[in-house]
Amino acid sequence: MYLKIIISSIKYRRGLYIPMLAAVAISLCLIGAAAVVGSSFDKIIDKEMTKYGANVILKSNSVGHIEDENVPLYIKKLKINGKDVSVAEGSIQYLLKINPAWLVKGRTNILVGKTAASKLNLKAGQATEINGVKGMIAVFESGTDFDSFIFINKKANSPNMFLIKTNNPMKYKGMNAVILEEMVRTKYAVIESIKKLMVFIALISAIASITAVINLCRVDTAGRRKEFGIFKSLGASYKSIWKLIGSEFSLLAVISFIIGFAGSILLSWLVINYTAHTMISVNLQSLIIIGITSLLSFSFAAMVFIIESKRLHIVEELKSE
Amino acid sequence: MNNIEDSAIRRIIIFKNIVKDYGSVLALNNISLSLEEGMEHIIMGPSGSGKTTILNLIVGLDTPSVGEIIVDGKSLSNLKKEELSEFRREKIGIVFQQFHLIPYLNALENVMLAQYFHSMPDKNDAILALELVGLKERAKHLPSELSGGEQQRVAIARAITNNPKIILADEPTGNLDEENERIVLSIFKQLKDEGKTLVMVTHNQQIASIGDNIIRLEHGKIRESSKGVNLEIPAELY
Repeated sequence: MYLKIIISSIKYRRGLYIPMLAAVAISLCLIGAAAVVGSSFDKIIDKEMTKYGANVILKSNSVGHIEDENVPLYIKKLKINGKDVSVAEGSIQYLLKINPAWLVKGRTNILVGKTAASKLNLKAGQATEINGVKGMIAVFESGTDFDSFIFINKKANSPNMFLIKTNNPMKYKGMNAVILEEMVRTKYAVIESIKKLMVFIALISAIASITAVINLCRVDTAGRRKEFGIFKSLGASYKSIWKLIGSEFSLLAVISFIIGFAGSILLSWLVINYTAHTMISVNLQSLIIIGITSLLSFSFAAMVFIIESKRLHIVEELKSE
Repeated sequence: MNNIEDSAIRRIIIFKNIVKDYGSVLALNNISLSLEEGMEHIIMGPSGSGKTTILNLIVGLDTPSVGEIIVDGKSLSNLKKEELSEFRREKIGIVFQQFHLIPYLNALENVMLAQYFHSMPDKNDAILALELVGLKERAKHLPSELSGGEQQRVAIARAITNNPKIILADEPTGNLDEENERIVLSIFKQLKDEGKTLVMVTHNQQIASIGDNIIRLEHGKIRESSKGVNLEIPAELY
């Protein structure tokens, strides 16, 4: 009976709910698409950067620890020129999240910071083998903590590798450094602009849809008040009325979530496919954003009626016309 | 909640010095009465005389400005909002002139709605209630597909489905033709025969004549009443 009341009420009010659902769904499409495009864009950047080379960063234990807790590092034994060295290993992808990267053009397999080179007794131009990666050592000096790092290019076919950007100019011979992230972002500047535009439009449309939902609800206030009056005359408690309102709008939120999610996938696919020619990446965050927006929109609607039910004067609602 | 002494059990509705005003408008002016259980009480009077106000006060949809109302042993002024809702769904069935059916639920569902708020919906009980008002065959019809008389009979089925002790009806035949009026009144008579207490507001003198007791109101006061209505509240109830 409970479900029957909710579904019948939604069907009965379809003239009101269809535009309401459309307003919320359009907003959710834009918000979801902005989130999906955003996360897809981040993935593209990651992918592009990985394509350029180094993906492992090593730091000699003997030269101190990385302070940043956001960079997970694992203690590892390395064989450098046949000698065991204890190092901390982490993915450069993590470091990229806190530091923009520099692209080091020119084939270089092993880049060693000045401090690390000194501690490990490695020299520039020396033929070295680190865990099976063979290469010539290039020593760099940044004047920062990164001088304690060794960067290994594990991609044999990659002509370049990248390095963490530091405040000081990089000093190493024969290398031409550019900011990789900037380069990649420039390549995908169109998506970046679309993403920013979508976020802006999504915010405006979220405000517009919530306003539309509240105003559409107000159109139905008189009908609802009479209905609540009838419910109360039948002995309904406020809780049972609120349960019906809450369930009705929760169901609408679920419907709008499904439409909005499907729409946002389609929209983000169109944006990503036509600008970056790659696959979109849907993550949990995008789903949560769509879900919360959907719930929020209909929570406002439910609140309008919950307040109305509390302000209700039953006799006035039911008196003879 | 007040429990009334045994001597008062038959007096199912008691008004003690009730005053009801809406700002400057005095709807009921110091009314005292007690209505006997199992009888059909008719409230008559011109528009604005306070008839509907009495029904609203009995069902707890409105509260008196002064005085106390006791229904089936419970003092309504002592009940909290949720207790009043419970009292309404347990003790009272109400029938309105405008029927007040839920437009998107069919006849059967409208009856089951009252069961839903009461406890658990029971389709068979709801069908029985519709059968009693002669609408079993129209159970799947929406209110918009029913005539006025049929809608009123659905409203009666909804009012009786939870087996309340008291049935209140506010001009239940006001919007009906003669044939439907006759059907509705025969249903009320049947309910009275089953021991229900009926309190009906009407303008119709002919309908009033079939009631057990008549209370005539004028300007918020009882002008006259017949034998089944005690205008003096027994001392033990104070």
